[in-house]
Amino acid sequence: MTLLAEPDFGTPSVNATETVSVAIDGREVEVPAGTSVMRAAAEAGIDIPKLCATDSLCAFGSCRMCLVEVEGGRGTPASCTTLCSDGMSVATNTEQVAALRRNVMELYLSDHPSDCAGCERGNCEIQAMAVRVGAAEVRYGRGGGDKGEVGRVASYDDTNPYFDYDPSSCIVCSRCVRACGDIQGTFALTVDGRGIWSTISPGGTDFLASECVSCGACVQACPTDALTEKSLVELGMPTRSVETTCAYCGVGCTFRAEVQGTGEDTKVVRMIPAKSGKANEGHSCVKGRFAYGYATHDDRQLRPMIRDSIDDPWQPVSWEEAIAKAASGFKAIQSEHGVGAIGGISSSRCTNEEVYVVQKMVRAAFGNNNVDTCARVCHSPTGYGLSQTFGTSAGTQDFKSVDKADVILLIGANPTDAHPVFGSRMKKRLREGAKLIVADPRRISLTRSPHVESSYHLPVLPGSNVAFINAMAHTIVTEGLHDEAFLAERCEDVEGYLAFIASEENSPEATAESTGIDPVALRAAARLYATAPNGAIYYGLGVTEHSQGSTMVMGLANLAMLTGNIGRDGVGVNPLRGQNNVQGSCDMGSFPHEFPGYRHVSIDDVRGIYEELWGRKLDAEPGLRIPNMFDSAIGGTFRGLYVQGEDIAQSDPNTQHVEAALRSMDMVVVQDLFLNETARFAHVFLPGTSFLEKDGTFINAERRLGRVRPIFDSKVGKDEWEVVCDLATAMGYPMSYDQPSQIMDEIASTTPTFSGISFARLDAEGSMQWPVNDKAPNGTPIMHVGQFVRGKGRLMQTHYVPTTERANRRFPLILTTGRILSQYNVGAQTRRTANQTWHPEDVLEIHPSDAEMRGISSGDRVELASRVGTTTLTAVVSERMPAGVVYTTFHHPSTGANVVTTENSDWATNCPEYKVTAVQVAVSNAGRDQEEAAAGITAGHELAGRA
Amino acid sequence: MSGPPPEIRMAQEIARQFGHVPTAEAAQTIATHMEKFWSPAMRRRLAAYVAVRDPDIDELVLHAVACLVFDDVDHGAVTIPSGG
Repeated sequence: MTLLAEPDFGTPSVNATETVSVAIDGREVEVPAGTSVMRAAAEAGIDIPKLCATDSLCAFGSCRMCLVEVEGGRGTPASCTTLCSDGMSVATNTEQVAALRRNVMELYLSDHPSDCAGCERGNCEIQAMAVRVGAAEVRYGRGGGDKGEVGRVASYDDTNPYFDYDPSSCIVCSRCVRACGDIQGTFALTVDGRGIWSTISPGGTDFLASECVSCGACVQACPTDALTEKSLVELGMPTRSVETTCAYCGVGCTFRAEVQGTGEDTKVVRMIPAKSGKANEGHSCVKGRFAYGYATHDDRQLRPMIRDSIDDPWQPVSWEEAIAKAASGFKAIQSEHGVGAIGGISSSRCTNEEVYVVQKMVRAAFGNNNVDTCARVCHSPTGYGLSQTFGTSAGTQDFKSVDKADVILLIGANPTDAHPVFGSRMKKRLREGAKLIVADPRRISLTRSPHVESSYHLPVLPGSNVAFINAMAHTIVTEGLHDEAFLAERCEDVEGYLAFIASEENSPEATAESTGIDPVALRAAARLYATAPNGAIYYGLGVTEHSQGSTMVMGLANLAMLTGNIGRDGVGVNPLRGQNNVQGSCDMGSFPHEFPGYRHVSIDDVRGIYEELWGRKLDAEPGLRIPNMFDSAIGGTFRGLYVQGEDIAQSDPNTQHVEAALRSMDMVVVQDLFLNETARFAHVFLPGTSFLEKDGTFINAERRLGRVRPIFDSKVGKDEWEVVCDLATAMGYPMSYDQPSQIMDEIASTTPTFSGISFARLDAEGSMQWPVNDKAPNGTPIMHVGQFVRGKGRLMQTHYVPTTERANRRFPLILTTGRILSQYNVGAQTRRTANQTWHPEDVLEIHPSDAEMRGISSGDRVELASRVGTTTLTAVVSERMPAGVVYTTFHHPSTGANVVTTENSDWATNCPEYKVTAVQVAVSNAGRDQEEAAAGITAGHELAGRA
Repeated sequence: MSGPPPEIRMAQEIARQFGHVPTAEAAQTIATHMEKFWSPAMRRRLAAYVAVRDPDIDELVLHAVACLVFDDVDHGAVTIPSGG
């Protein structure tokens, strides 16, 4: 592929049914009413010079390069701010406008370094624009970059780890300021000073100390070299680009990886978010845009390794030896302990194709259904709850749908940190006037940030979600705000549900003690949601990771059905998935009771499809979920485990229990980029591939299949799906494919939801949302239009049952856990990038009153103890927390947040109850030295592994 | 950490969710859930624990196990797609 920049039409597209016809330089063009002359010209193939305009931002009209003449009009208006009118005739290149452009360009050049490095390398548009408009001479002298006596006074800022700001190259076009505000919604940048002294400022400080979230929108918008990626300065301009999908969160942003070199010499120069990306539309966050360095980090393990005992040092071996040891170990276990004594775990960070072959290996080669996925510990209740109520295990909308929402009910999610690109989109809609209800124990930033303030923040106490959602529904029903026509036409079990929810026990007043929410505020919030033309629900792990996670998901579905907020644009029930391929890993049959497409293993016809295709008799009984595997390992009946790209020893709850399970096994095989915490208990290590080496597909939170394309060849000599095939073959079940596209072809041929999908089609038409089949040949942006997948929507009676994990005198506080913007899950990727700059350790947030009564100040080391374990963190006293609740993240293994979380789980799916752990906090005698020593154990383990 | 066997702990947690449902219906629903999601070995272990007649075991769990033993489960519901 060559390096092709995406076309820039200068101003955003306009959505209007009415059209107007204009003539531009004699070319007739018809455009939607409200389209700018600049965009109309671009659509007619005429590129009007511009500097301050770009089609990701609203027109600004400051650079005066895009002047045109309009027949019958006065002066020379800027084409970016001039809208087309029917019959308009525009001339874009008359002598008058050409002379004006030259004059304006002279002024820019007089203030631009004559030795601009960006112009030299081709990353600055100024010199090229000067040539284009014919500004050969500069009557006012060429700028030297220092601005002399009248120049801007800002200094070079290299504090951000990923990009530099050079004010000498800046033309103060405000594209960066507008990108920060209009696209990202952070408003960290401003124009400081006036006239010739104008300069871009990150709020009067440097970039690192500022409110900047390093999304890169300003860098992408900058038409000069003023804001430039450090990687570009270091490596020079890219020579080609490859479009692929981000490896981080469930938004699934499309990027153009801009690279240099070929083969082993290929280097990523930068990742540019693609405007054509339907999930991100040209935006990105600090993780996807910049934090890709882990793929080439020195910690990457590139050779297979084996050892007889977990106390032995690793021995690098050939692929053949490693595969043979794993296979012989697994076979020996099965020979001694039975077919069901081994299993596998697939990863939501791997492609659909890689996940599919893992479940195929387990079912066909291992001969059992002991396959599960890391989605078990995050969104398994979403699959269960939405399937029970709507008939399918997925969110209902596309991300774009939020643009039409009037009221957004955000529950247990913090999208500006965990799904930042969608968070920006949501903030944009809120700035346009949509209302926001936040239900979360913490005062997340969306409750109040620049130009965004929630109408209601309902600080629901951890563990009381179902009581809360029932109170919302109770208010709606008892105040007559429910959509009776929708319920009558589209839903079942209506009468029973209405009687249940109307009972006094579900009222806001009766549930207030459990939820901690002011009934007046709750009632007002319920009215706001119910009376909105379009009410949309967005939720995250604060919903699912509870003992009633599945019940709560059903409660959300109830609320949407009650109010008729399902089956059209701007509404719906939308899970914000944690990892990039959570949806895909579930869709691909990673659950121990279901084949791909959520079909139970006991269904003879479905099993028959795979038995015929795979040539093996398959088990008709469910296998073990991840926590069942751990329990069975400790019980001695489960002895061997293959783990793909998941660090269960760090991410799963009750670390002591998980480690005991892993120690109990005779053969643990870890396939990963790094020697992670789980690898401490492994006997075989199989090196994995990063997303920059993968060829396949991911499915994001809106059911969108996006292509993942390799930037360079596998650094370990094999693709991950190939390794799984080798292991299956060594187990006695020959399994092979020539290309990953063949795996998708097999998926499409056996799974009705994906029957219309192929690599060729995705390459030709771009990403698509499932179902893609004969009924929906072009995919399904919005589900349940007209009728639910299961026919009638099912209202479920969601009785509130308090968790057994409760605060008491010994453990009087409730710990809840979550994520932060710069780090990702267990941090295996982001900790190996400069994102460490922002979050070098996990901290414990504690309310001032809880801190004061314990004598805790910000910065103190504190001991966090639960009934299962103890760890030590640094305290941060924060009013974001309600009294009685403390919060931490789990991005760092040295912190070991999951040392304290318990084995409590969702009743239906066994998704761990990460969000509720009774704890005590006290000032710790353990200093940093002790903590660092603990960290050193981990580091030492990794170092030993590399030896 | 000591505590009830995992199958008992999970069964008790499921049973708590159906405390509001008439016993016979709840028992069959719980048994159907176990038939759908639990491995045969887990179901067998649960039945073995229940056979010991630990007084701390929720009566609804006992009824659910009886449903499992006598195949009083909703096999149609088992095959409905569920995710999770």
